[in-house]
Amino acid sequence: MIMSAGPAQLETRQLNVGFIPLTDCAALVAAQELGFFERQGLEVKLFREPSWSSIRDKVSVGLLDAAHMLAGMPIAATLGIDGIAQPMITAMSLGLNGNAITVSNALYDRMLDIAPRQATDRTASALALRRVIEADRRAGRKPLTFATVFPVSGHNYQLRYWMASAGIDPDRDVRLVIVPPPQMCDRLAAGLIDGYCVGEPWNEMAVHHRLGHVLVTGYELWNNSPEKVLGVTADWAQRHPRTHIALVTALIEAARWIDEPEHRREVALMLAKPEYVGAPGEVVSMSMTGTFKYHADAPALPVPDFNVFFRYGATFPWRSHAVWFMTQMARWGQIPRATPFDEIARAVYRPDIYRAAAGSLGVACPGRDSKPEGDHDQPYADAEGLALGPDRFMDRRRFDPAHPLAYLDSFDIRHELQTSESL
Amino acid sequence: MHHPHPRHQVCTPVFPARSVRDPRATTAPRCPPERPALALLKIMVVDDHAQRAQTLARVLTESGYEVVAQVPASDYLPTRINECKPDVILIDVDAPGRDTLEQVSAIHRETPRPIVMFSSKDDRETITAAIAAGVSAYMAHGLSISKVQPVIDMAIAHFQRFQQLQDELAKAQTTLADRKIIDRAKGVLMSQRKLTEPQAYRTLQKLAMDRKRRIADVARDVIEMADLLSHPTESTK
Repeated sequence: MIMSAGPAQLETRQLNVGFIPLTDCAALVAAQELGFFERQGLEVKLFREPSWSSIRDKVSVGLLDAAHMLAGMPIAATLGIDGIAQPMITAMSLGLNGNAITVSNALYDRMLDIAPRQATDRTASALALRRVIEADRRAGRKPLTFATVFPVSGHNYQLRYWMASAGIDPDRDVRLVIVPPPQMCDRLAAGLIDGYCVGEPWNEMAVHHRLGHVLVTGYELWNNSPEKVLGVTADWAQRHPRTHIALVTALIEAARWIDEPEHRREVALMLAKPEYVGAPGEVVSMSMTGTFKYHADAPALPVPDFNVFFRYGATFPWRSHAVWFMTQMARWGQIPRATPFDEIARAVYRPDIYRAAAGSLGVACPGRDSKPEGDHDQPYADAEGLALGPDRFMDRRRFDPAHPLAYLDSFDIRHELQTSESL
Repeated sequence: MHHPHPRHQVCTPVFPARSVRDPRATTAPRCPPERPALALLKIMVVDDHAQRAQTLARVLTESGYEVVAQVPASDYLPTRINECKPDVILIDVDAPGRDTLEQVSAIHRETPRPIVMFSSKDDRETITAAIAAGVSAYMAHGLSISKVQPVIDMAIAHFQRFQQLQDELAKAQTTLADRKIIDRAKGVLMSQRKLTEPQAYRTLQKLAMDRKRRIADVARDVIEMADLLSHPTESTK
């Protein structure tokens, strides 16, 4: 049984925590600016890092104690597929949704020319892209280039999911590259990439500067999909159990504060500062205040759940989310299909630590550690009465975490690792 | 830009961090017989700091390595790697382009290559950690660490020297800028409060001590305040 502690019992009070300049580092920034870390007896230094690799390496060698991470990172590090092979864990999710797919004006115009109805129909927009790709192939043009932020990022899996849903094979029909989030707009403007999937504010930034059009938000691809987590090494967590709980407690409290609608604008302005995200306040405020512009000349539409930090159990580390990420890693040949999904999910995702932290705040927790996805297009209450959000996929597929291989096999387009071992 | 490099003789590295330096070593290239030729390891230097990359490439070339490319981190690296087929990739641990390299590291279906990182931060521990992580992360089969080590040593030494120069330059520039600001602030105090120059300077010093801030920062405040007071703005703005 893990107990939370008073400041006197912390193994260490000084923590170095890394983040990437994205709207969804909000919990870290708010905890720092509003004194939630201090309240737990922690003295935190936040470090803005230039790349996800740098976040991973610095956490791995102990230069950072904890960091804002892509949900796939602790899993990849534990599985040893990222070259670091350092077991990592997460005891908390830092939010749901937050991404979108943006294309250049030139590509958008071509999609509109070739398939006007599909180009403007969010989840069907991939069908218009497919028509453009087919036309390019007939004309002998070179393939389009799309960027995501990291091989094991939710963005990579979302972009691939969306393309494959329209019969586009992301490994054959387009060129996929990796670009750090703050560089996306520049690359799009320079014509080096034709589109990308990235977190806010780097989609609204392209819209704001008339560099591109947003085709679809991550929320529309999968309602309330997991996105970022708080990552630490398993070794650090073992040596600092109380400090870890204090850190998670501070961040849950910050997430709860951020999710109060009347606080959103204030957080957006905090995030806009150059030492954090470094983007105009009006651009960061867009998604943060639950509105979104798909084009520069379009009105801002309400997308209340574009960023979810606390409600719908957003901070809870669902083991089923870990399993879903692994099905996508297997789908695209990053890990073998024989990976022990459940065992890894148990090792990496630690709801036990989360519950100890949430308990001290009186925050309600789900009774189970896993849940199926894809059954709800409205908010619903789980057995404990906890309100959870919609969880629909764009293609109405259902994900049952107890049967990951059946789910994997339900996808026509996939590139699994060819292994010699018989399963 | 890819330049074909002339084949160089293997000679004593400029920064033989781990080899024993011959006290009689001259600038003329000499081939130490005890050291096997390095079989011209092909190196790609990825650095957005063009000047730093250029001198590093020169140092490596002079030491008998083949620098097949110097590319800005903003280039699409996988393509460049396929073109030049380097044995080793050198990159600053803090280069944003590192994420792009992930595609050619172990996680992807392309050939992993040793990606050697160094930190330009002047902090041994950071550097050691970065290197330990970097080299072990992407050490390719068939290329022993001992082969890569001299490259790493050279790169680190070079980075540190470069950083020192940069720091000295930055320091010299701030001192100069600070001096100008402090002079202006003294002028403001002298004319506004009718102080002598030593009195004005002591006032600034005292303000800085009381507020635990740098004297130049306090001076900046004094000037800004004076500007504000000399241009009263309408409150309706």
